[in-house]
Amino acid sequence: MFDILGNLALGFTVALTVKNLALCFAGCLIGTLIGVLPGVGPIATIAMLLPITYGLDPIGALIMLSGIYYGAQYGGSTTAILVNIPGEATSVVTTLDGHQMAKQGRAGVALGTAAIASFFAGTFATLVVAGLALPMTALALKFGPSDRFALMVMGLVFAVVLARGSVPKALAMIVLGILLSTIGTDGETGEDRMTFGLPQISDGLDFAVIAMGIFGFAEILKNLENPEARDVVRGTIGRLLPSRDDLRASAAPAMRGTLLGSFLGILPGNGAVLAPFASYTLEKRIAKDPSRFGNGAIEGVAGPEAANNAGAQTSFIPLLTLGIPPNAVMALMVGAMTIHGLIPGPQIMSKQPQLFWGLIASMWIGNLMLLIINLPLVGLWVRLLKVPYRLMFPAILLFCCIGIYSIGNKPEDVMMTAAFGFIGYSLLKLGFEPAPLLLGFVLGRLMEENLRQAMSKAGATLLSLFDSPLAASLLVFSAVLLLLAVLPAVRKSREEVFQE
Amino acid sequence: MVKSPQDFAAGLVLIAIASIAWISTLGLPFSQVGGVGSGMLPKSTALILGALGLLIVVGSLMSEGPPLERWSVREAAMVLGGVLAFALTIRGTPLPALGFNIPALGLAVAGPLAVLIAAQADRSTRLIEVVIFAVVLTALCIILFRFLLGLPIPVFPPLLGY
Repeated sequence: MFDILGNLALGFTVALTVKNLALCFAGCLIGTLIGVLPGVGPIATIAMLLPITYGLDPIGALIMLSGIYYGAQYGGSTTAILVNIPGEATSVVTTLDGHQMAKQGRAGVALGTAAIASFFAGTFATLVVAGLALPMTALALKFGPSDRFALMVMGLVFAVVLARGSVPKALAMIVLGILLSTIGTDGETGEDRMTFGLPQISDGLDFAVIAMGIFGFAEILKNLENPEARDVVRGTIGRLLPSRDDLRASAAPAMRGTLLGSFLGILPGNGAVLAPFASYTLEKRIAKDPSRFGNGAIEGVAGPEAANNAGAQTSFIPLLTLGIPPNAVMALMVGAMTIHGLIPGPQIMSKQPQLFWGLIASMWIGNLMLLIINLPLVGLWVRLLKVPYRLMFPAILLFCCIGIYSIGNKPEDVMMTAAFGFIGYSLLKLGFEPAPLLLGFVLGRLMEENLRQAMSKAGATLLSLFDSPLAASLLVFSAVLLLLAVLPAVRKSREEVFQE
Repeated sequence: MVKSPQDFAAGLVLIAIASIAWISTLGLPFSQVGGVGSGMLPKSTALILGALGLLIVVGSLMSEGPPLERWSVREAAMVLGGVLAFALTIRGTPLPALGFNIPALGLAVAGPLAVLIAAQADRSTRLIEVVIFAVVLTALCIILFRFLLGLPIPVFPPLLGY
């Protein structure tokens, strides 16, 4: 216990310097600004803003990026409430009751409740991250390459099970991601792999290029196709602070949501995406009058928003302690850390405690800043949302171009991004959900590395992967889980969860 | 007969990708002395991808599913064309095959160009509005990215030299 407090104190001395506070603030503000734009989720936001952190020192860059992440998350909720367009999967739930509240003239209360519930969840989740960091890191240091490989397999299987739509199609996206990760010169043998003689890809594909193409450009194309009712709330936002009754109604849901989200976020394979759905279902189940849900029930905003934010935060745990990104956003963080010469994993905490604890402390500061900057700025976001899409998308496009170009000052990267925009659009047209592809892409490289280490012993075969009891049980568990997901009965109930 | 055209096409695309990957990695060894060869991961993922493609194709023959969606060719061409125009002009591109080179024009040209081309994807675009918007937006981007954030992005090389 005193360890944690001591470590957090160390973290706060790092995070509370004027420079890092300013970066955290800037990250939250810019993240919200971009995240508020409809159809721009956290993945696209982070990919777009990655280059502006290049000039910073590693800790500053990470603090700013996580600020951007929270900001983008929060911005997505704002859009969900005010415009009924979820920025990403996790804010879908917020549209249900949040937008109804807005239509009833309670937009301000919905936004305020979301902000307060998120802050509460963020505070709790920061403590969870701090508390689990030491034991998880100690555990991770005992893992061998075959254990890590098995963990990644399990993460990918989770991602398949939790993805929406058909299981074979989600699986195909992951496998395609792994396949794409092998493009380029093989790091170990120096052989060219699937480069088709193109020098641009001999170093492999860039993660940000894929992310921006698939989540930036393809998303724009999708939005252009549905000139949807962008039903920006007219009329007033109303007061922001929830009344005493509102607070009383939302306290328990927010707490339950926080617990659910904190737990699900730790799971490998994007458990966080499930958190708001799970919280909403739970609140609806235990409500005295379930019919209020979907008609502006404040519990339907408080619970899922808390779950969402808690999950967003605890999903840092697998990344920081095991070095395994659980979802596409964390995969982007891996990319950002690598640029600064950091390899995510258990060694970060022991070798760079200041960076590690500074980041955790800044998570809490970031949450506090979101609360402080967002409530007064709601008016600004509303005005931003009223900008017509015909002007908004060329602007988003230009930011994306500048962002991609700035990664390596290479125009070729911009062209590659356009190519991936086309690929992403094709995938959407064929009914694929592309998020698992990104995860597969990042984990693909890590998996190959660990597979190589695991099998470098003399006489090793694929069966050697089962040598360690942990690895063997994880692999068997993954196989069972995958089988269950394919079975129709489970598939049906899974659909029910997502429908609700 | 095909009951789910979208899945049918999706499966075929996966099989095609898998085949290309498989053929282009034919020469890579699956295993080598000391363990995993450079071909193991690409080949095994290509194989799994092909199998999944087959599964999806078979499934599309058995159960009903969504039809093929219409592609918005014009929108895609304009949006991606705008991006391409940005890529070609920001630092210039030699085009020996066509006998000329695109000079390095910097953000001052690449920015408005990308915005103006991409904006054509939306039929409700108004010309004067978008021209003004493109110029103002580019100016803001130059101030923000080049001067405030200090990114080494060329502004207008023909006149400014950077």
